[in-house]
Amino acid sequence: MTPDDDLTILVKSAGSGDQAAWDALVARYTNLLWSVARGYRLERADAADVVQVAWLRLVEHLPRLRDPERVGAWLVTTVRRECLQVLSTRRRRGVPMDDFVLAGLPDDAAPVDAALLAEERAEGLWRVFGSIAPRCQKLLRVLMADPAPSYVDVSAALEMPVGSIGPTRARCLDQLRVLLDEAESTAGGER
Amino acid sequence: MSDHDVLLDHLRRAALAADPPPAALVDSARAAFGLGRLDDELAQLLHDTATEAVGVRDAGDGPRLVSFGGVEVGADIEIADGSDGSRVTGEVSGPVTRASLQTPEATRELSLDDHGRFRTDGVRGAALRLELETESGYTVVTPWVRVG
Repeated sequence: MTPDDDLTILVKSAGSGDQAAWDALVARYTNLLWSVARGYRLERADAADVVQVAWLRLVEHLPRLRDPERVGAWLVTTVRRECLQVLSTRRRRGVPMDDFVLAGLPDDAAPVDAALLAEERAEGLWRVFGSIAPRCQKLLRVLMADPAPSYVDVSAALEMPVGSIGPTRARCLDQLRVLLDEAESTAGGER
Repeated sequence: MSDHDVLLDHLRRAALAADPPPAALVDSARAAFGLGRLDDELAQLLHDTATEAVGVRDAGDGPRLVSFGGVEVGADIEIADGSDGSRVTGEVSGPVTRASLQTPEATRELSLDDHGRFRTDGVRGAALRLELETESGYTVVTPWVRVG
Protein backbone atom coordinates (compact mmCIF):
# COMPACT_ATOMS: atom_id res chain seq x y z
CA MET A 1 0.00 0.00 0.00
CA THR A 2 1.45 3.38 -0.97
CA PRO A 3 1.29 6.34 1.42
CA ASP A 4 -1.32 7.87 -0.92
CA ASP A 5 -3.57 4.80 -0.65
CA ASP A 6 -3.16 4.96 3.08
CA LEU A 7 -4.21 8.61 3.13
CA THR A 8 -7.17 7.97 0.86
CA ILE A 9 -8.41 5.29 3.25
CA LEU A 10 -7.96 7.54 6.28
CA VAL A 11 -9.84 10.41 4.63
CA LYS A 12 -12.67 8.17 3.46
CA SER A 13 -12.97 6.49 6.85
CA ALA A 14 -13.04 9.86 8.59
CA GLY A 15 -15.66 11.01 6.07
CA SER A 16 -17.87 8.13 7.12
CA GLY A 17 -17.57 8.95 10.80
CA ASP A 18 -14.49 7.08 12.00
CA GLN A 19 -12.94 9.12 14.82
CA ALA A 20 -9.82 6.90 14.91
CA ALA A 21 -9.11 7.70 11.26
CA TRP A 22 -9.57 11.39 12.03
CA ASP A 23 -7.18 11.14 14.98
CA ALA A 24 -4.62 9.53 12.68
CA LEU A 25 -4.90 12.52 10.33
CA VAL A 26 -4.51 14.86 13.29
CA ALA A 27 -1.39 12.97 14.42
CA ARG A 28 0.03 13.14 10.93
CA TYR A 29 -0.53 16.81 10.15
CA THR A 30 -0.84 18.91 13.31
CA ASN A 31 2.90 19.41 13.74
CA LEU A 32 3.23 20.37 10.05
CA LEU A 33 0.38 22.87 10.26
CA TRP A 34 1.92 24.33 13.40
CA SER A 35 5.31 24.55 11.67
CA VAL A 36 3.76 26.36 8.71
CA ALA A 37 2.04 28.91 10.94
CA ARG A 38 5.24 29.47 12.92
CA GLY A 39 7.17 29.68 9.65
CA TYR A 40 4.88 32.57 8.72
CA ARG A 41 5.90 34.11 12.06
CA LEU A 42 2.54 34.00 13.74
CA GLU A 43 2.67 34.27 17.50
CA ARG A 44 1.94 31.02 19.27
CA ALA A 45 -1.65 31.93 20.22
CA ASP A 46 -2.47 33.01 16.65
CA ALA A 47 -0.74 29.95 15.24
CA ALA A 48 -2.84 27.68 17.46
CA ASP A 49 -6.07 29.42 16.36
CA VAL A 50 -5.19 29.12 12.70
CA VAL A 51 -4.42 25.42 13.01
CA GLN A 52 -7.62 24.73 14.95
CA VAL A 53 -9.65 26.50 12.28
CA ALA A 54 -8.04 24.42 9.53
CA TRP A 55 -9.24 21.26 11.28
CA LEU A 56 -12.74 22.67 11.82
CA ARG A 57 -12.90 23.51 8.10
CA LEU A 58 -11.67 20.07 7.10
CA VAL A 59 -14.56 18.46 8.99
CA GLU A 60 -16.96 20.57 6.93
CA HIS A 61 -15.07 19.87 3.76
CA LEU A 62 -14.53 16.10 4.09
CA PRO A 63 -17.57 15.08 2.03
CA ARG A 64 -16.50 17.38 -0.78
CA LEU A 65 -12.76 16.73 -0.81
CA ARG A 66 -12.08 15.80 -4.43
CA ASP A 67 -8.60 14.35 -4.04
CA PRO A 68 -8.31 12.59 -0.67
CA GLU A 69 -4.58 12.03 -1.22
CA ARG A 70 -4.16 15.82 -1.34
CA VAL A 71 -5.65 16.35 2.11
CA GLY A 72 -2.27 17.58 3.40
CA ALA A 73 -2.00 20.17 0.64
CA TRP A 74 -5.59 21.24 1.36
CA LEU A 75 -4.83 21.69 5.06
CA VAL A 76 -1.59 23.63 4.59
CA THR A 77 -3.24 25.84 1.96
CA THR A 78 -5.99 26.65 4.45
CA VAL A 79 -3.39 27.46 7.10
CA ARG A 80 -1.36 29.60 4.67
CA ARG A 81 -4.43 31.69 3.75
CA GLU A 82 -5.39 32.17 7.37
CA CYS A 83 -1.79 33.15 8.22
CA LEU A 84 -1.79 35.81 5.50
CA GLN A 85 -5.09 37.08 6.86
CA VAL A 86 -3.72 37.31 10.41
CA LEU A 87 -0.61 39.13 9.19
CA SER A 88 -2.73 41.50 7.12
CA THR A 89 -5.00 42.30 10.09
CA ARG A 90 -2.03 42.82 12.41
CA ARG A 91 -0.43 45.14 9.88
CA ARG A 92 -3.60 47.22 9.51
CA ARG A 93 -3.82 47.49 13.26
CA GLY A 94 -0.36 48.99 13.29
CA VAL A 95 1.80 46.07 14.35
CA PRO A 96 4.89 46.93 12.30
CA MET A 97 5.70 44.36 9.67
CA ASP A 98 9.35 44.54 10.69
CA ASP A 99 8.44 42.74 13.88
CA PHE A 100 7.55 39.77 11.77
CA VAL A 101 10.24 40.03 9.15
CA LEU A 102 13.23 40.86 11.28
CA ALA A 103 12.56 39.34 14.65
CA GLY A 104 14.34 36.05 15.03
CA LEU A 105 11.85 33.23 14.71
CA PRO A 106 12.64 31.52 17.99
CA ASP A 107 12.41 34.76 20.01
CA ASP A 108 8.75 34.51 20.92
CA ALA A 109 8.79 30.76 21.25
CA ALA A 110 7.72 29.18 24.50
CA PRO A 111 10.36 29.03 27.19
CA VAL A 112 12.69 26.31 26.09
CA ASP A 113 12.11 23.10 27.95
CA ALA A 114 15.49 22.76 29.60
CA ALA A 115 15.24 19.01 30.02
CA LEU A 116 14.32 18.41 26.39
CA LEU A 117 16.86 20.86 25.10
CA ALA A 118 19.57 19.77 27.47
CA GLU A 119 22.15 19.40 24.78
CA GLU A 120 24.05 22.61 24.50
CA ARG A 121 24.49 21.93 20.85
CA ALA A 122 20.74 21.86 20.19
CA GLU A 123 20.27 25.17 21.94
CA GLY A 124 23.10 26.71 19.93
CA LEU A 125 21.61 25.29 16.75
CA TRP A 126 18.24 26.85 17.50
CA ARG A 127 19.86 30.21 18.25
CA VAL A 128 21.88 30.21 15.03
CA PHE A 129 18.79 29.11 13.10
CA GLY A 130 17.18 32.36 14.25
CA SER A 131 19.91 34.35 12.51
CA ILE A 132 19.75 32.92 8.99
CA ALA A 133 17.89 34.70 6.18
CA PRO A 134 14.14 35.01 6.92
CA ARG A 135 13.13 33.15 3.77
CA CYS A 136 15.44 30.30 4.78
CA GLN A 137 13.95 30.23 8.28
CA LYS A 138 10.50 30.01 6.74
CA LEU A 139 11.35 27.11 4.43
CA LEU A 140 13.38 25.20 7.02
CA ARG A 141 10.75 25.72 9.73
CA VAL A 142 8.28 23.91 7.47
CA LEU A 143 10.77 21.23 6.40
CA MET A 144 11.61 20.43 10.03
CA ALA A 145 8.00 19.49 10.76
CA ASP A 146 7.56 16.08 12.36
CA PRO A 147 6.92 13.79 10.53
CA ALA A 148 8.90 15.21 7.58
CA PRO A 149 6.46 16.74 5.09
CA SER A 150 6.16 15.82 1.41
CA TYR A 151 7.42 18.42 -1.07
CA VAL A 152 3.87 18.67 -2.44
CA ASP A 153 2.69 19.83 0.98
CA VAL A 154 5.68 22.17 1.39
CA SER A 155 4.96 23.63 -2.03
CA ALA A 156 1.33 24.31 -1.06
CA ALA A 157 2.36 25.77 2.30
CA LEU A 158 4.79 28.27 0.84
CA GLU A 159 3.44 28.78 -2.71
CA MET A 160 6.77 27.59 -3.99
CA PRO A 161 7.32 25.34 -7.03
CA VAL A 162 8.15 21.79 -5.98
CA GLY A 163 11.27 21.88 -8.17
CA SER A 164 12.81 24.80 -6.32
CA ILE A 165 12.41 23.33 -2.83
CA GLY A 166 15.41 20.98 -3.06
CA PRO A 167 17.92 23.58 -4.32
CA THR A 168 16.66 26.24 -1.86
CA ARG A 169 16.81 23.75 0.99
CA ALA A 170 20.43 23.00 0.10
CA ARG A 171 21.38 26.71 -0.04
CA CYS A 172 19.66 27.41 3.28
CA LEU A 173 21.28 24.47 5.04
CA ASP A 174 24.67 25.55 3.65
CA GLN A 175 24.09 29.00 5.08
CA LEU A 176 23.15 27.49 8.43
CA ARG A 177 26.24 25.26 8.37
CA VAL A 178 28.55 28.25 7.76
CA LEU A 179 27.02 30.22 10.63
CA LEU A 180 27.17 27.19 12.92
CA ASP A 181 30.85 26.68 12.15
CA GLU A 182 31.49 30.38 12.80
CA ALA A 183 29.61 30.24 16.10
CA GLU A 184 31.53 27.14 17.08
CA SER A 185 34.94 28.61 16.29
CA THR A 186 34.04 31.80 18.20
CA ALA A 187 32.94 29.75 21.20
CA GLY A 188 36.11 27.68 20.92
CA GLY A 189 38.26 30.83 20.85
CA GLU A 190 36.69 32.05 24.07
CA ARG A 191 37.57 28.94 25.95
CA MET B 1 22.58 10.38 5.53
CA SER B 2 24.09 13.49 3.99
CA ASP B 3 25.26 16.37 6.16
CA HIS B 4 22.11 18.25 5.12
CA ASP B 5 19.83 15.43 6.22
CA VAL B 6 21.63 15.18 9.55
CA LEU B 7 21.39 18.94 10.06
CA LEU B 8 17.67 18.97 9.27
CA ASP B 9 17.17 16.07 11.63
CA HIS B 10 18.88 18.04 14.42
CA LEU B 11 16.67 21.02 13.59
CA ARG B 12 13.59 18.82 13.81
CA ARG B 13 14.59 17.71 17.29
CA ALA B 14 15.44 21.26 18.34
CA ALA B 15 12.04 22.47 17.09
CA LEU B 16 10.21 19.77 19.03
CA ALA B 17 11.99 20.94 22.17
CA ALA B 18 12.00 24.70 21.60
CA ASP B 19 8.79 25.35 19.71
CA PRO B 20 6.36 22.44 20.04
CA PRO B 21 2.66 22.86 19.31
CA PRO B 22 0.68 23.42 22.54
CA ALA B 23 -0.62 20.11 23.89
CA ALA B 24 -4.17 21.50 23.81
CA LEU B 25 -3.90 21.95 20.05
CA VAL B 26 -3.98 18.22 19.36
CA ASP B 27 -6.98 17.88 21.69
CA SER B 28 -8.87 20.65 19.92
CA ALA B 29 -8.02 19.17 16.53
CA ARG B 30 -9.42 15.80 17.62
CA ALA B 31 -12.49 17.42 19.11
CA ALA B 32 -13.15 19.27 15.84
CA PHE B 33 -14.40 15.98 14.42
CA GLY B 34 -17.32 15.96 16.85
CA LEU B 35 -18.39 19.38 15.58
CA GLY B 36 -19.00 18.14 12.06
CA ARG B 37 -22.60 18.58 10.90
CA LEU B 38 -22.71 16.45 7.83
CA ASP B 39 -26.50 16.07 7.80
CA ASP B 40 -27.23 19.78 7.80
CA GLU B 41 -27.02 22.23 4.94
CA LEU B 42 -23.76 24.15 4.89
CA ALA B 43 -24.36 27.79 3.99
CA GLN B 44 -21.89 29.51 1.72
CA LEU B 45 -19.51 32.20 2.80
CA LEU B 46 -20.47 35.00 0.43
CA HIS B 47 -18.35 37.83 1.66
CA ASP B 48 -15.72 38.46 4.34
CA THR B 49 -14.01 41.80 4.59
CA ALA B 50 -11.05 40.26 6.43
CA THR B 51 -10.32 37.89 3.54
CA GLU B 52 -10.85 40.56 0.94
CA ALA B 53 -8.44 42.94 2.67
CA VAL B 54 -5.46 40.55 2.42
CA GLY B 55 -2.78 42.17 0.33
CA VAL B 56 -4.70 45.43 0.03
CA ARG B 57 -2.25 48.00 1.27
CA ASP B 58 -4.70 50.75 2.21
CA ALA B 59 -7.58 48.59 3.41
CA GLY B 60 -9.02 50.41 6.40
CA ASP B 61 -9.43 48.88 9.79
CA GLY B 62 -13.22 49.05 9.76
CA PRO B 63 -15.43 46.44 11.37
CA ARG B 64 -15.25 42.92 10.04
CA LEU B 65 -18.35 42.09 8.03
CA VAL B 66 -19.21 38.55 7.01
CA SER B 67 -22.15 37.33 4.91
CA PHE B 68 -23.51 33.83 4.57
CA GLY B 69 -26.15 32.51 2.21
CA GLY B 70 -28.08 29.25 2.23
CA VAL B 71 -30.85 28.02 -0.04
CA GLU B 72 -33.62 29.68 1.97
CA VAL B 73 -31.85 31.67 4.66
CA GLY B 74 -28.96 34.05 5.02
CA ALA B 75 -27.07 36.03 7.64
CA ASP B 76 -24.90 39.13 7.80
CA ILE B 77 -22.73 39.60 10.84
CA GLU B 78 -20.29 42.14 12.17
CA ILE B 79 -17.49 41.01 14.45
CA ALA B 80 -15.85 43.63 16.65
CA ASP B 81 -13.35 43.48 19.49
CA GLY B 82 -15.11 43.90 22.81
CA SER B 83 -13.65 44.46 26.24
CA ASP B 84 -14.13 40.77 27.00
CA GLY B 85 -13.99 38.68 23.83
CA SER B 86 -15.70 39.69 20.60
CA ARG B 87 -19.03 41.41 20.09
CA VAL B 88 -21.11 39.94 17.30
CA THR B 89 -24.06 41.81 15.88
CA GLY B 90 -26.05 40.69 12.90
CA GLU B 91 -29.22 40.01 11.05
CA VAL B 92 -30.67 36.80 9.71
CA SER B 93 -32.99 36.66 6.71
CA GLY B 94 -35.52 34.11 5.49
CA PRO B 95 -37.78 31.84 7.53
CA VAL B 96 -35.45 31.50 10.52
CA THR B 97 -37.25 30.44 13.68
CA ARG B 98 -34.24 29.92 15.92
CA ALA B 99 -30.60 30.93 15.76
CA SER B 100 -27.54 30.09 17.80
CA LEU B 101 -23.92 31.10 17.73
CA GLN B 102 -21.31 28.42 18.25
CA THR B 103 -17.64 28.44 19.10
CA PRO B 104 -15.64 25.22 19.31
CA GLU B 105 -16.27 25.26 23.06
CA ALA B 106 -19.80 26.60 23.51
CA THR B 107 -23.19 27.31 21.97
CA ARG B 108 -25.39 30.26 22.84
CA GLU B 109 -28.94 30.93 21.78
CA LEU B 110 -29.42 34.24 20.00
CA SER B 111 -32.45 36.32 20.73
CA LEU B 112 -33.78 37.68 17.48
CA ASP B 113 -35.89 40.82 17.30
CA ASP B 114 -38.80 41.28 14.88
CA HIS B 115 -36.37 42.10 12.09
CA GLY B 116 -34.14 39.09 12.73
CA ARG B 117 -31.46 41.19 14.35
CA PHE B 118 -29.29 40.09 17.25
CA ARG B 119 -26.34 41.16 19.32
CA THR B 120 -24.16 39.16 21.65
CA ASP B 121 -21.05 40.01 23.65
CA GLY B 122 -18.12 38.23 25.17
CA VAL B 123 -17.67 35.67 22.40
CA ARG B 124 -14.44 33.79 23.01
CA GLY B 125 -12.81 31.10 20.95
CA ALA B 126 -10.72 30.64 17.83
CA ALA B 127 -13.73 30.56 15.51
CA LEU B 128 -17.48 30.95 15.32
CA ARG B 129 -20.40 29.83 13.19
CA LEU B 130 -24.15 30.30 13.17
CA GLU B 131 -26.76 27.60 13.24
CA LEU B 132 -30.14 28.57 11.82
CA GLU B 133 -33.33 26.57 12.16
CA THR B 134 -36.05 27.20 9.64
CA GLU B 135 -39.85 26.98 9.81
CA SER B 136 -39.77 23.64 8.05
CA GLY B 137 -37.52 22.21 10.75
CA TYR B 138 -34.52 22.30 8.49
CA THR B 139 -31.12 23.32 9.93
CA VAL B 140 -28.47 25.37 8.17
CA VAL B 141 -24.96 25.86 9.57
CA THR B 142 -22.50 28.43 8.31
CA PRO B 143 -18.84 27.72 7.66
CA TRP B 144 -16.48 28.44 10.54
CA VAL B 145 -15.04 31.94 10.60
CA ARG B 146 -11.81 32.54 12.48
CA VAL B 147 -12.11 35.31 15.05
CA GLY B 148 -9.25 37.62 15.97
